[in-house]
Amino acid sequence: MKKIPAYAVLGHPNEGKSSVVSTLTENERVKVSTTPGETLRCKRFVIHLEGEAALEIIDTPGFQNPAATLKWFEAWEGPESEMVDAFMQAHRDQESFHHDLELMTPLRERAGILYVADASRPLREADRQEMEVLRLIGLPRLALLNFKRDNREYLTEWQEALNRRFNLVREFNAHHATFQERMSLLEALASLTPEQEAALKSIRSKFEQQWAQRIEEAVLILEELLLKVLRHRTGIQYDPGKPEKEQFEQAREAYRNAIRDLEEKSRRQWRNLYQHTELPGSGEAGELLQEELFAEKVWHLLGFSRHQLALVGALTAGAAGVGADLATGGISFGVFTAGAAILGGMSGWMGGPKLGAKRLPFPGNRTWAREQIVVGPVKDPQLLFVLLDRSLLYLTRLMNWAHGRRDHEAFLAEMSRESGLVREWSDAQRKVLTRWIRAHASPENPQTTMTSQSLRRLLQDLLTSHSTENT
Amino acid sequence: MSTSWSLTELTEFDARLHASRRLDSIPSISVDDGSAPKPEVLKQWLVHSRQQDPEPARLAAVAVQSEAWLRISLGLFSLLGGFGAAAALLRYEGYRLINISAFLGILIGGQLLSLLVLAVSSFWLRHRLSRLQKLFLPKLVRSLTAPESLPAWRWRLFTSFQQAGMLFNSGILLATLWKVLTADLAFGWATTLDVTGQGIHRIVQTLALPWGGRFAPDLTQIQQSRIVLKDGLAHIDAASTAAWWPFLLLCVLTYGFLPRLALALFGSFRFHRLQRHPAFSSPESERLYQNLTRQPLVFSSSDGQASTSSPSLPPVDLPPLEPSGPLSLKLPPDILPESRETAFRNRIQSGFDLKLADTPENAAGILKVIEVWQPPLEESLRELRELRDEIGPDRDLLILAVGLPNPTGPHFFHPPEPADLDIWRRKLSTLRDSRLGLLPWRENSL
Repeated sequence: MKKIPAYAVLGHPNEGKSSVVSTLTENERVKVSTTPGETLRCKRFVIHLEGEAALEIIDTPGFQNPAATLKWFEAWEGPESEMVDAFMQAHRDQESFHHDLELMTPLRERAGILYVADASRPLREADRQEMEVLRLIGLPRLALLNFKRDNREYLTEWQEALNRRFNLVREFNAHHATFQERMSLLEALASLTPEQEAALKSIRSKFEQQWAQRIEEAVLILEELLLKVLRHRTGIQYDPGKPEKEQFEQAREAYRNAIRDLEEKSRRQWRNLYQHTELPGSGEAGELLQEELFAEKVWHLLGFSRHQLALVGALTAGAAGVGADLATGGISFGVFTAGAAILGGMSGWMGGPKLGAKRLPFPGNRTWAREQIVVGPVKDPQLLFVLLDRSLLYLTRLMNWAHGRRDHEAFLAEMSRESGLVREWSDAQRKVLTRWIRAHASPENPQTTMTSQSLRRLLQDLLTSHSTENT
Repeated sequence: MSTSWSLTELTEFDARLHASRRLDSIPSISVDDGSAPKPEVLKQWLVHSRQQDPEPARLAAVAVQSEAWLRISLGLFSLLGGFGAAAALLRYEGYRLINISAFLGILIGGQLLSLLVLAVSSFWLRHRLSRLQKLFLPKLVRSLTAPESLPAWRWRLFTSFQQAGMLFNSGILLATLWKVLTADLAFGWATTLDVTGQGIHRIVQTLALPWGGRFAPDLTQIQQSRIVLKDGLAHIDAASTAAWWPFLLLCVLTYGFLPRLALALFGSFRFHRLQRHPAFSSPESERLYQNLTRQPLVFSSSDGQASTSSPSLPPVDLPPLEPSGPLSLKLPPDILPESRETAFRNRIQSGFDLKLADTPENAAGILKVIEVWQPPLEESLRELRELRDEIGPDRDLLILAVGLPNPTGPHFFHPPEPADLDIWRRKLSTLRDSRLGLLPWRENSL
């Protein structure tokens, strides 16, 4: 069987080894425990590319007897290549060495060493002993400086100690590592183990290819969401016995709920795509992504500004207005008509879109005899812009969220941005979006494919440029 | 595998995509050739999905069959309608000529008007028409939000309506021929307006232009077939009244049948082109195609997670330990600068009400400082066991649990984190040492 590059993640207990493995392998199910010494056995994570195993990352238990182990290794007088085997033989009956024997298993198989050290705490004798053991074993070794706390006070002493004993030392925060940082680590591994360079370069290129493909798919999900919202209509049956106003509001709420559901569904699809299924899709009110879609705060901070909306309104008016009205089966209330700019501006002040509701004498389906109250398709283009903005924020957060993080409640709560992304768009970028809306408001429009391609390119470029953003 | 898609397959494809959208997952299959054209790859997916769940295929077949029955019914109705309308208009009982104005106005004029409406609607109002078309579409198709089959359905329905138009005109032609062959027909024209025979002749010649002006009544025949009620039928020339029928037949053929034939051919061409080259450009189809053709990175683990973790130790509380005399301080070598050791000893004695012995020999026990932010290693526990062996079972062993160092501050150390303390407490309890105690470092005790 072809030997694949294998790296054992080693270190002191509770230094974040499992978090590093989780982030490197994009596996949110790697158990990350705050209780030290919970990992008893090595856990092997194999990355398969094109159906074949390509890279192995091995999570190991932490050192439990660094002083005794070092003492034994220093006293060893046999051939260096037999040292690990001999150590395991010598201690195989000692229960207290169970962890140490287990972590030596991949080293016996000549796996490369990724030594994880929490550089936010002081360096201690036990750490020096572990480093020395690994130096004596003599396998290619790379030290990863992980920071469990926000403290760089001890960094220099760690670097000095590691530089003396390791081939390479890299900072790698398992909780904040972006895709680019993970790729840099692969590059470092290639220089650490030159015999695996070709294989690691190929793996890196596949990772990058897959990253680009994920972005493409995320954009398609986003386009699908916008398309559904653009054409969405909600109808409830009109009851002549109840006040009309109350029923209109009921229909509007049903419409808002349907749009919220569509947004949540897209978020779920994105989470599946980025293998973050345990992250929340929505949360309690607070930050921009936690607030529900129609919240006042969201409408104040996301979407286009009033000035931009005026320009967008002019672009989406005219042909788009007529087209959209007709496209939606005539049941339209002037979607993107010349008043779009005014409506959009108003929605910013009013903290939500103005949703027209109308009684229709032609309900369709089975209830021919009764009227319906219908809301949508949306009049106010700002709904699409706000939704797009929120989706982009959610996506950039999601794609940069390290799999090793377990503080899921912070995912939506800790936002580094306090405003959206689309307000920073250029005129040309805004035009791409408005042309897409204009074309897709009417399914018959021959421009749909072309405008879709332009919008997809724009969003892909945008997400690619944000894929290095630190969470 | 053929890359041409039938209407049934397109409808089934939409239904399956719709179903997988509801489930939030697209069934994955391995395609034989990932570099094959998009329609071929998607066809493979369709065939594979059909093996797993034949229901959407059945529903799609029912939808297409329903349309076929609708087309046949509409065709029959149109044929009979055309025949019946023409037969009614061509009723001649010998005392009144058949007025060609009614024949041309109703059967040709009406159709020309409908063609005009079609032309206008295709330019201005096509969306309104598509709404009407939607009414006739099966619910299965209407329920789709991004249907790949909708354009094909539209052209199929368009073609069906044009074919119905052809049959309507065929009915008119058949009825006219039948009447011409089996009855004595006499055609004439009448008007209240001041229109001469020459005027009508010009109109007739214009209408007959497509077939070169032949088979149309000449000026004399037109003048002699004018109906003037006060003059009765006596002055009407029988040959002239019979000269109209080839003209009328050719009018129906040219202005009724042939335009419908052209439109039906156009619709059929568009329909078949869509079947040969379906677009599959919707985001959903694109996503499906990507999922099918791209090899994902797969991560797998060697064994179950449960087997890799040790069972958590039960929560415990070490019994409080009241030292019976002065304690000997044991400080790890690298946690405090030597210059601060005396100050540290003083702080312990004042802050914790503990007496520290000057020499180990005078001590009633040991006060061992442990940085509990470090995990309790096997080695640390072994060290404690060895210490116990060294001092004997009756002397006190008190652990002073400190947090991270605070080298510049007055308190030497931060207090330990409760979670770290808890972990140490649990671990220490496994030593089963009744003279072992744990004392957390407190800043306010100083």
